[in-house]
Amino acid sequence: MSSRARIAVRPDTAGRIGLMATAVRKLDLEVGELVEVGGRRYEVVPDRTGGLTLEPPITPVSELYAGRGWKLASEEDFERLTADDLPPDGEG
Amino acid sequence: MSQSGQKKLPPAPVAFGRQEWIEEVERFEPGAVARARAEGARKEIESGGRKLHWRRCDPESDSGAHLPGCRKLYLPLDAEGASAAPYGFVFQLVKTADNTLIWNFIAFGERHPDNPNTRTVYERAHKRLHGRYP
Repeated sequence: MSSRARIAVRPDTAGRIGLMATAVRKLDLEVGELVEVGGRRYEVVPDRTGGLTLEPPITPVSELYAGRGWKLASEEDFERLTADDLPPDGEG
Repeated sequence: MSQSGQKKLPPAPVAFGRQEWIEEVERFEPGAVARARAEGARKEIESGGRKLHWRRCDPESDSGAHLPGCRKLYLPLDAEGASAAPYGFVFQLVKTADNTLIWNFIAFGERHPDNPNTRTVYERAHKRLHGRYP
């Protein structure tokens, strides 16, 4: 019998993974690292309780825009294009 | 004229980048309610047939999200009032390589998730802008 941990991986509807392991394989990972499980990539991120969790990665705009030759618009352009918008509502 | 006294610009088009769409919307399984809401809203936005109720994002908010240069839409687009719209799209104003201004889609998700482990659309937008959660 193999000594490797057997891990069943099943993403939920939002892509987070659930792990059911018959033996625990400890991973020494830090925030920001990427891992691949079952052909899918996950990023190590902090959870809300001081621990770490794995989530599908969110590619930062700095990386996306660099590849496309895009840059951020000026604050003046933003002001001129949102003059008729509803104001911020305090939630984000 | 805008509030700052500058001349308003013509509306900028909305863009849904492939990578952003995969990461924000296609993380949900086909047929999931959230994904269906996002796909339906995108169709309506791209068809141009509906008046959109744009709202500026808070440059700083109580959630800790810092979203300068961003605006948002609540989903469903035809919801009567913000409280009837559980989801949101966030867009950032960018200038493309040919100097065209566009509103680039950067985040989709729940505004006020019941599950405390679920990231809000604002937290996701902050992560995409700054590389980390607020």
